[in-house]
Amino acid sequence: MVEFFSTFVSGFIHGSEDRVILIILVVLTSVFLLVITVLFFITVYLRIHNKTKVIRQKRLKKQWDPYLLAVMDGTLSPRKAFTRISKRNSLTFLLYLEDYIRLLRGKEKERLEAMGRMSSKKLESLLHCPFRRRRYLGLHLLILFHGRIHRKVRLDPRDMDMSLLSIRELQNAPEVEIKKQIIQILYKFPYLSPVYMSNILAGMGVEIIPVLRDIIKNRKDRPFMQIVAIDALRRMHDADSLRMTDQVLHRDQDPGVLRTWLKYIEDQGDRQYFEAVRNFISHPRTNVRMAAIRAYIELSDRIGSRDIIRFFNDPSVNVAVNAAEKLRDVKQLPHFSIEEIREYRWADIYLRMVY
Amino acid sequence: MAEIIFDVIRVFTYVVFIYFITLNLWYFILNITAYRGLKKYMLRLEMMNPHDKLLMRSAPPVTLITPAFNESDSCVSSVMSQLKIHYRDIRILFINDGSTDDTLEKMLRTFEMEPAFLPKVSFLETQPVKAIYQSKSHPELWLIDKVNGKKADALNVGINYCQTPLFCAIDNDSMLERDSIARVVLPFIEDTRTIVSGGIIRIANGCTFEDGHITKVDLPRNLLAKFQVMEYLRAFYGGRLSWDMLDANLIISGAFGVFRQSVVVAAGGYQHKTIGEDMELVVRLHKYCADHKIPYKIRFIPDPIAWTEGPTSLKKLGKQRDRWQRGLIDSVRSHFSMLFRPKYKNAGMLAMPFYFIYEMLGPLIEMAGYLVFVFLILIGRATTTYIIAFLLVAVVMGIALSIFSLILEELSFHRYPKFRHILQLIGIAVIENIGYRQLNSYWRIKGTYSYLKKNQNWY
Repeated sequence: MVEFFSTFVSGFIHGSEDRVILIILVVLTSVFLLVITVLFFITVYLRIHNKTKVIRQKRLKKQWDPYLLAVMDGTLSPRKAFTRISKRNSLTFLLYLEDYIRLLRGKEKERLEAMGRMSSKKLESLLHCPFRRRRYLGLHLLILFHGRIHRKVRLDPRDMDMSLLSIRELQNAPEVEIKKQIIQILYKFPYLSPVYMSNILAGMGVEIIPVLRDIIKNRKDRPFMQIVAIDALRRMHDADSLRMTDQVLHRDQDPGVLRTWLKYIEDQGDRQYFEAVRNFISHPRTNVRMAAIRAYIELSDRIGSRDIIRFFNDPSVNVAVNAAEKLRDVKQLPHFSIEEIREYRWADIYLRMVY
Repeated sequence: MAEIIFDVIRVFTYVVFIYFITLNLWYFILNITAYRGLKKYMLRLEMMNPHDKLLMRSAPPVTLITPAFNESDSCVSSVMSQLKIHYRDIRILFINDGSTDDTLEKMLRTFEMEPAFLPKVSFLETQPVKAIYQSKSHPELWLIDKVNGKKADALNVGINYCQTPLFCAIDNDSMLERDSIARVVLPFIEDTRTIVSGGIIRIANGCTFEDGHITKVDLPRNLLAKFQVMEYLRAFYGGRLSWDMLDANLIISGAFGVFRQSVVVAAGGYQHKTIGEDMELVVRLHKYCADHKIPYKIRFIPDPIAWTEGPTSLKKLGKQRDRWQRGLIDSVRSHFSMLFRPKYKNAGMLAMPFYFIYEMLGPLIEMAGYLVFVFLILIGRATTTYIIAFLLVAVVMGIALSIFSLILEELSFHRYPKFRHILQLIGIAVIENIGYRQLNSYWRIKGTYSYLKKNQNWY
């Protein structure tokens, strides 16, 4: 093989009688010239296709507008308008209808939604389409037009993208069973941002609070689940769950869970948890200490000089910066001379941000 | 003696031949991968609207860090464009790297800046900071005036004062599209392992800007800038996008990239002594995360766009390419230990060897190939027919790859709106092979030579 190859190449370089090399090169050139020609036509076709698509959509939208406006006004019933519209079951029309619906409220919105519901059969068939884009759009539009979970919609945890999209679309569904399913599927994606997850959970409404409490209580094996659940409770401003503080704030707890719970207490500002918070202002983990100090400043009646020394002598600059940010809102601070303050590790932060 | 020389030349010609075949095979694979990546991304884009309220609420705060040295002409428009970015929580840190012109005065005057305090939260070693200012009219805008220490040093100062978990490094002459940041942070929301995410850079020459934002996209009139439009399309679609699919992106452009601050600080920040600080940092982050067993992702997103002015004179373009080559060599050399190490996965097994063999040594082999061919013709050891046929294959393959990038552009964002743009770009794909390509190789060889001479001027 090597010998064959080297004979070929050497023949090629030395211009020997072996015409095979030349033939290969000519064939390669011809093939690539053909490829270039094909690619050229594909590029031109795509450009023409993109251009005509825009023009065609503009023309269709011009045709659709009078009907949609008439339905909004109530001068034409949704059914009549729907039957008169050309390409009424096309995704282009339904997505255009969505643009209208997103801008409207009240009766006008309801009338257009009723019009969209007339395409339900078509949309249901899209849920089983092999193309993901069509599947997604079918799901998205079904939920939009029906305003609630559609009986045909199913969550599929094997496909992360589609699951997340479904979850986003379904988070406002009223059925508690669907919500429980969403929570279960959501936790199958361990790398999803906890903030994003807790925002989804918080958007699902107060019905899921017992489920979240249950996770905090029983899922100590998976601190990530607890963190997301606590953050969701915080976002929902649920004060009652703070009664679990004694169960959550203990020394063996995961630092992430501790930090999130302390942030929850800080947000709620309930002074009865002051003592519980105080136990953590010297925690060895910086993030926990930082959260505890923020909550401590929020809940305390009066900040003493020892506290200030502790905050601004902390080994971590982040603790000092966070304390300074919180202390800006505190009206009564202990009196220090500048010389005394200068001895602190983060004196400049105290002097420039708080003093 | 003569026979030994001819044997050496013969071996070398084998090398050129094999090199040529494998290079084009690689490019072919990369382009197919890019096509798959783009298709996947376009679908996601339709599903994930970055302006979705839920995503907006979950988006982490970002600090834009813009280092500037003697940028009096462009600093105001650049900052203006940054102030108009649509994003939930954004801070802007403009770093005046000891400018000797009126950059500082212009900034202070235009944005009504006054001395302020910003705590230093990281402690990367840098040149001293002279003063910190905050804008009265735009409280999110800060200016740090420091002693000159080159770009990497200025970026490190920005990182030291960055109060948010993410920072975005931007060149002063880059104009971000309004939703660029919202799009480029999406990977951080979808996957907490993401440590870097970069967007596409496009050539701004010929485009119209108002208030620091693009209002009309057009091709540049200058031929050199047109060549760069094609080059950037090829590099970002055929290169970065496909490496992203392989989880082995070694470059996130210094002109526009978002980084997780904590990881960058832990890895030691930007390196002062390198020319290509952007590539060096990304390669180092690969190494750092793999060495410390930190799960990570380095992502490239093809549609958050930063527009940048491309050089329009041969001298400036030559200088830029010279600098890029030096940066590339420096990054590969500094992290040579990653080469063919399974520990670094695709970054060590595929991307590093590719950059070393094809990007770093490529110009040398290409130029040497031309010289050997000329030599062989002169001494009558090779016929011109074969050599022309060989060069023709190289040219048509190059054209095919360029047009494929254009197809990817048409399949996705088709930002060049007119029909004539496409025809012009196809024309560019053809003529760039004659002269421009060889010139590029020459500049890169010059870069290699000056690197060997340890010439490390940045600005």
